[in-house]
Amino acid sequence: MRYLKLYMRFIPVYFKSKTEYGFGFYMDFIGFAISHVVSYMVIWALMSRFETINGWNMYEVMLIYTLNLITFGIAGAFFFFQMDDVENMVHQGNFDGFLVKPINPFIHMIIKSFGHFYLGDIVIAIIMLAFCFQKLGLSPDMIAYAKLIFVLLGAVLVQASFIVMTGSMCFWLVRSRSIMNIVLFGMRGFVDYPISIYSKFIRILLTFVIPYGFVNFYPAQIILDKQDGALFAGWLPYATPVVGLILFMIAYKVYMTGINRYQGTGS
Amino acid sequence: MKLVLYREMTMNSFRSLLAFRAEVLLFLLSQVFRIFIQIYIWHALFDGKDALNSQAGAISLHEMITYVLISSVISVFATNDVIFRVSSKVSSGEIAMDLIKPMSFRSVVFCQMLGSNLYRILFELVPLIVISILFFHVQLPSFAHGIAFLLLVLGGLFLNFVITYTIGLIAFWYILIWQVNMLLNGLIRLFSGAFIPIWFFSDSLIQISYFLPFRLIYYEPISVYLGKISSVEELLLLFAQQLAWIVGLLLLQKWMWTKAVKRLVLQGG
Repeated sequence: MRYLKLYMRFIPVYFKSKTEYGFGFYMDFIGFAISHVVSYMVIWALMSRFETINGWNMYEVMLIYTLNLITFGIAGAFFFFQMDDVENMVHQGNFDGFLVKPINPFIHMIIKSFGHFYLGDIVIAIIMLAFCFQKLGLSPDMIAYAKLIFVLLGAVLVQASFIVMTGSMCFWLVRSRSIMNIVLFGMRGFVDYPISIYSKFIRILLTFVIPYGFVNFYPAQIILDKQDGALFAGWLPYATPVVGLILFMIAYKVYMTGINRYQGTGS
Repeated sequence: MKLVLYREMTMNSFRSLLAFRAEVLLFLLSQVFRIFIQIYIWHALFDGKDALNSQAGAISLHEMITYVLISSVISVFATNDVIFRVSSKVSSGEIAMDLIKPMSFRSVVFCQMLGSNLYRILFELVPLIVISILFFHVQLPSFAHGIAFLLLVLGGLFLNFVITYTIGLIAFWYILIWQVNMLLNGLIRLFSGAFIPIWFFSDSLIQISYFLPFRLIYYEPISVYLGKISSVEELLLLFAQQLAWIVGLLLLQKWMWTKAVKRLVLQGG
């Protein structure tokens, strides 16, 4: 409750400081939007020639991409720039100031700022989600929607966990930017297309070791009611929220352990 | 005399990059990921078939894998930071130091890019080629095709530099340059054939891509490598197109430069 009140104070201040830039603030969204429009066009160009990839048609592949986009967008809004700030503070040696505040340092990290950049992504993703649903002739009822939201929350937690875990590496290595990049923008590329195209080894890796499969592939199986592409157990897609929770708990532990290790770079 | 100058400028940029060895390893790793993903995608798209029909005749899976690998080799050089270099020089005022150097601003930027490319040859290109040959048994072109390919790649890379430099000059008028950069990257991703070869495009996309210079950086050189384009006339036409784009952009860029320097106001000093 107290945290919520703090959040309500922090965020308007944050937005005021950003909208000061006026035109530039809105242009930021355009930049990101361009890159997503291109990604959808690439899928379109590819799928209009080949029609299906491993039994997934164009709109199903777009749905896969969209789920990745929306869950990363939501997780990124709350964690990405925040972890980036933490890295900067550790690097510059003023993270100490962060630790003396009378507030849980994990929650402080979250509420300190907001990744407004990702709002544009989320809007695009919602539009594309509606578009895919319409093209695929999906009209979920209330129960299906509830199920969807539940599963997507798990997926958001998976995305958030990877951001927090890789970002926390700065406590050990001082700089974590390149690790964040390689995991969040390199490895995550593996789930841009249905993971059923990969060899069994990589699929197991993406399910149990680096569970990016739960970000979009398994939720998409639930939405599309796809059985043929089912890997391992039929109930696996429904484990998404549990996987998300467990992973998030691990991420929290990693962050807290990192903070205890923090020595300050000395300055 | 002048050459010594260029060499020093190039080596400076090379040395400053040597400080980031860990970054290189990670960059290499992300390249390998990209190659893996793309090869799996093509595997799935070929769906067990040996060859697919396309605008350039039948394409085998092995040719496609070679395409992916060559494309990522070219991308090692074609991803430069010229746009950001120019814009940060303008906004930080560092450009003042470049303007008093006894060489043109364009040459300064070019040498600095060359320096970082030199560094990439050592730490990114060589490992990438070793991986390609050892693990993917990439097919080698005939001697003549190989030479034509190398010349086209060089032309393409110079074209790439001129494109990015010209766009970088926009920074003199318009500070929010990274959106423009995003747009350029998007156009390249789609229309250069870096990921999807143009021979798999639909007719309307092919037409658009022929109005843009980007295919001359990736798609056309790789087509030559694979022997899809072999007649001398076609090759000459490609070189002519590269030359025409380069000359056209250089003229545009010269005109922009005379306007840009007049606008330049530097604070302090």
